[in-house]
Amino acid sequence: METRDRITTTELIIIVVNYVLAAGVFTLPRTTVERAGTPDVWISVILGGLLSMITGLIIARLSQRFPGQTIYQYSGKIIGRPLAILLGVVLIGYFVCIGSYEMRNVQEVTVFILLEGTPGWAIAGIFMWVALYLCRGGINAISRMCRLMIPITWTVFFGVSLLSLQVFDINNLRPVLGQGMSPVWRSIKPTALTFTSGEALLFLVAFMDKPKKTMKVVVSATLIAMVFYIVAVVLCIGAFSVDGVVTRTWPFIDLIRSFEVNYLVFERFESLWLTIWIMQIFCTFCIAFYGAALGLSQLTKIPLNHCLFALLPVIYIVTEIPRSLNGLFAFGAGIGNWSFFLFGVLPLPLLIIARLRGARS
Amino acid sequence: MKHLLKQGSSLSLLIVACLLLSSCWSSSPIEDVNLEAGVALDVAEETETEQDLAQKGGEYPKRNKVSCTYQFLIPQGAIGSKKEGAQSKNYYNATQTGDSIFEAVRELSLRSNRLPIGHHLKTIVIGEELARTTKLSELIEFFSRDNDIRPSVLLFISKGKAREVFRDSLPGQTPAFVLNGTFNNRRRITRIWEPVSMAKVVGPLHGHTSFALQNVVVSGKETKFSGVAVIKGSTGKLGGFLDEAELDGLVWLTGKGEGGSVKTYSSDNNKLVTYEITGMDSKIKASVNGDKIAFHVLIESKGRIAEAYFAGGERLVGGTIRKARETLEKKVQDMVKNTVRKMQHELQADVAGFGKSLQIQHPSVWNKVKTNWDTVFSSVPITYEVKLNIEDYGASSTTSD
Amino acid sequence: MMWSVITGWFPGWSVMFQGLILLIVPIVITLTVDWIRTFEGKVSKRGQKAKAALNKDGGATSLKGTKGAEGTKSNKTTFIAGKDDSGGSGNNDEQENPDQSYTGNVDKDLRLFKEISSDMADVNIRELRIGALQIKAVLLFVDGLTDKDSMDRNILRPLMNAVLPFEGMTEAPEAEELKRIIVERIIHVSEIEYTIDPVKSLKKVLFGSAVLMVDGMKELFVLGTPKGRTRGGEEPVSEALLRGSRIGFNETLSDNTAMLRRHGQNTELAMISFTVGKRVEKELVLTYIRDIANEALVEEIKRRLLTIDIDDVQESGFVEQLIEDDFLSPFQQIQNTERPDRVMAAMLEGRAAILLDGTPFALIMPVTFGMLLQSPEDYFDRWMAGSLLRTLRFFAALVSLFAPALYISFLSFHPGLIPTKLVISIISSRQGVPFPSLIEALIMEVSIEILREAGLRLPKPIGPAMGIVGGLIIGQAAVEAGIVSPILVIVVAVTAISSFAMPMYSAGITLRLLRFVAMFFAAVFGMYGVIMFFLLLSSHLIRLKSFGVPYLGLMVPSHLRDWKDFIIRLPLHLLKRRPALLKPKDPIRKG
Repeated sequence: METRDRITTTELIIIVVNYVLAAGVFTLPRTTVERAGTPDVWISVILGGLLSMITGLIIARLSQRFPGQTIYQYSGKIIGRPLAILLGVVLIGYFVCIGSYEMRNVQEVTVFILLEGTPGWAIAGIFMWVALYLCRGGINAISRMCRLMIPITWTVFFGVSLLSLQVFDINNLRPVLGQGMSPVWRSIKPTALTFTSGEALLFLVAFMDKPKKTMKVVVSATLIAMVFYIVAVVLCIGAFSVDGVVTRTWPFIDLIRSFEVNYLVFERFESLWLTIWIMQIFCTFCIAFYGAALGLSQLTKIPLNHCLFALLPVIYIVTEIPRSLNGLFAFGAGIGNWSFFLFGVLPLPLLIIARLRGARS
Repeated sequence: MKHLLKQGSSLSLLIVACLLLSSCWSSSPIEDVNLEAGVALDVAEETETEQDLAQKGGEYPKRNKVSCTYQFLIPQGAIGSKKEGAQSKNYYNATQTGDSIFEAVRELSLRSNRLPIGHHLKTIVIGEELARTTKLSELIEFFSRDNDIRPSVLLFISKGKAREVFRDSLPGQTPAFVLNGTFNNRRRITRIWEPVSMAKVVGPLHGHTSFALQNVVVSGKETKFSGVAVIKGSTGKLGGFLDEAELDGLVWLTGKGEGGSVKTYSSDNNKLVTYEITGMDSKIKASVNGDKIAFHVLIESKGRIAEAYFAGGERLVGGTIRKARETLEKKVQDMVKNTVRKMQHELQADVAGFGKSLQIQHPSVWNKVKTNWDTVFSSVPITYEVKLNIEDYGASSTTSD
Repeated sequence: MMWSVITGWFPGWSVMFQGLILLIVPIVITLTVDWIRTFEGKVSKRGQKAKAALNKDGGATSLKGTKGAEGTKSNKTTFIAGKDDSGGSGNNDEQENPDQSYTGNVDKDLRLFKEISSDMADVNIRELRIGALQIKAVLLFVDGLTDKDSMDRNILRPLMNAVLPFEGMTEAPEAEELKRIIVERIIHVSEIEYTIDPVKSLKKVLFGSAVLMVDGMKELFVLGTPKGRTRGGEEPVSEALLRGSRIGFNETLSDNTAMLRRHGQNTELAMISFTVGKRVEKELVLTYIRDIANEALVEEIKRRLLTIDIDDVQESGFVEQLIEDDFLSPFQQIQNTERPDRVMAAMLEGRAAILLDGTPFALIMPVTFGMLLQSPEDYFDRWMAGSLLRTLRFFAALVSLFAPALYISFLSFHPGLIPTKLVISIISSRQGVPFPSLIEALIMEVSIEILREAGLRLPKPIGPAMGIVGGLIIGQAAVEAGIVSPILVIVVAVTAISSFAMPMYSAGITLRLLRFVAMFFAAVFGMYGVIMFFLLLSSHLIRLKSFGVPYLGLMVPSHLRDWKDFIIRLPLHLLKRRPALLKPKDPIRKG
């Protein structure tokens, strides 16, 4: 009856899907349409997904060379200790920023829709404390939480999506490729950034019981997440039209706000959906939080629990750095660019160097 | 259990302390809110109350541009035991004139102890005069930005003063809800346009395309849906109206009707025949030949005979039914033509989705003409084809004697 | 330049301060909890006690890490699998006291016995002479505990009439020979033990056995004739079923073990006997099915049972609290039940059970969350009905936990979520209610909890009347008086009814407790608070373990097949496997 700190392939898929599905759903329809200007962005979502799948596969390859080790542990064998520490610090910073970004999104949306007037620190505080409590249970607790959330959040997401079909107009999505592929290419960038899942694999593969199947994880997780984002984008454009989506700050929330269902228990669903989606974001937050703390703990040899505590105020302070909504979106875009470099560009040379030096665990 | 209580009590102590300190930041008791049910926007004209208040010094610096009339709900004793308020109204209206709509609603807070909330706002009615002079996007700006008010709010234009729509109603009814509920009758009549919510207008307003909003007129305690108001894409303002018959044509043209009737008189003996629509569909086919754009509209419908006086006492078979069908098809075509003529020549606005069809079928052509589509549209040739299918004739199998 | 960019990012001192608070609060809470745990550890010293107990009892005492003592054949535990355990046959080789032991001289021995039982008036001493040889003997017993009828018939009369066995003897035979004759030819008692320890003999007497002292024999006969006041197996009150066996455990351990044996013939049903309680000793039986239950689990339970260090184990609740994993959790980690069928079903899944003498409540461990919502009827009824009932119970649990919290959050925070027509009627019904929804809900919830508690204590005929007075009249009057709104009365009533739908009474209590916490969360943060409470609760349950088995294991299984018997119960022939979570030795149910 020992507790194993091992996760199966399915469990890892679920974790990665939970990691990818987060606050991106709120804004992705707008950020993509803003760049494309045509309703074809759903194609960009697919392409972006495939693109991030490729980077994910490279990372998976890299991690497979070092089964049972996280990036913080094995990077030293590839690029040497000093550079590895630098990389580790950057990665920790990245995960802290991801956590902060999600946290701030929760804050903004909650204050806007649910709790007008409640101070941000209170919202963040309770959220982060619960996350801390969960993360202290280790990767298995996070994995279980993800599995627990999935039936709830997925049901509500697709249920609400079905209901929103009453404001859906297929004509808003046509013509397909009316202006050719160029708008599609333009809007790939924001989608690819929403999707990046590879970074989570950098440390999660270490817990896998069958690291050989990492490829499967990358492919399935990206495909599942893709479904969600396609649904979000298609429904928003179908309801608001391309011209309307760009005027909405949180298109997906406004989509849910723009219909009422009579003769059901609820008439309006935005609060319900939002609270449920906050649970989804909670999972993402926990994974990022855990990733950062794990890195810190492995770099400094401080116990993981202490690292979790130490990162708590850091994440909060980073959360509060953006001073406005625009600041938050800029922050998000910044993280996106950062991740593009870290996880789109960097893993390939790492993999090549690892091959050349024959580094294995 | 004991230890748990210990932990639990300290935790709850903390929470209670939090409650006392913060007084539950966002909570507001539900019985102390004022539910907004509808808003009517008019050109500035202060009510007597406002003028009276202003004379006594109740004023703030502003330019009078818009009069906002909020309809607030007065919750009646819905509990069976309290019957005494049967005659009293379910609502009251408060008007505030000013320039900023947001400021106006906040100014209303000076006149009530209750906190107005917009979660249950259902209807925005805009007066004709205001809609002609002010851009619609400015008028709904605040409502589309607010966090309480939802994009599902329905928009109406009223010929005449919008606030009149909210003034009175039959006992037990709330005007704002009556307007919304009337859309449920779309299965009965084709002279109701589709309900247009704020979510559906932000796109066209931002993209400068024309669209139609339901028009509503009022007399005494009753309101009536009467045609549609056309918001022109180029100006973003009210361009004109389509009356009930023209709306009928518009509904046929777009195939958006859910049910209704067509009535016509037989050309030879001038007797009545009425057709009940059970389904309709329309397809707009755009064809481009060089620079020439042309449309072909195919309207298909199925339904049944509702009234037939046109051929004395004959069985509704073969020639009789063909005759009825042809008469009705011609009538539909006339209605549609009439509507299109008005759109093309008087209003110069396309609210029937011709532009969308062109965009879908010929995207490159659309890109060239989309900036001044409404002008281009006014001179586009359009051909029509109407196909009715009379499926049944109800319980009586002959025409009237 | 650089510096100004960084200061431009600096979010302000207030944020720093908030960050600090954010850090300090969880640290304080963690330290407090840790302190409570270490304090508990210091006082009870569970781990060390376990070790010591194992050492003292001899045998192999290798402790592997903190978990599972390896197969310790201590002489306190007797393995009696396959053999009916009919009362105190457990401890027959107690350590002997060399200073005071019986000599074989009846007069001396009797004096000794009288000394140690000096203040016990209920100990009866009956002197007699055995059969033809007139051997001096004394019968010791306690009035009321011993079955006098059978003692007279099976012990006294044969002893006094014993002529034939001593035929041809003129004087008392050797001790060994005498013992053989008495046991084999005279006494009609099945259960015989021997002791030369006066304290032990007193114990046996006080427990209801008759003890026979025979002149010339050092050893005393302990004759099992106890007749504790036992109760027949009645239908369990706390777990009534419409369908299923009507029998429940009673207060006699031997009856209870017999009930399990009688459930069906099985040679693998193990019953291991322990003695618990330092001052008042009681027998406790750990039972499991040898070829199903995971060994590590059994060893862990044994280890924990040996740590029990308390005067008297009054009820199995004591055992439960003393051996559970996390005493700071509101959830029970050991299930109690009065139903033998439930125990058997659990054992067949690979769980183990503990029976304690003197209580009809058996303990089942480990517990997973799903068990709290399951009832044996789910299996007795057809699978669709069973699934429906389980779904209903699951829903009822959610309602009972969250309904008042949702009421508070909807009314105070999210009037937009309620349908317009309903919100209008709620507002009108709440006109004149002077309290915020939290206070309002607290008033009603607390009073209904008091009502329920009061109804429990009242004599049966008054109970329902009390319910009517409380429920109907107070509710109605409170609404009329304008203290609470009628909607709340509905919510509270539905909540109360839902919590009655819990098949486990103690699980219901947990939900009642947590409901109040949820209400406070809702009062501060509305729906967000409710969701945060849900997450906190889930996190707790996820981290909670019952004997090393994840508590939420069935809710979030590693293998989807464990869901076949969770909220939905699939047809029996599809339930081929035991829960994989319990790692049973034999994962397949014989088919």
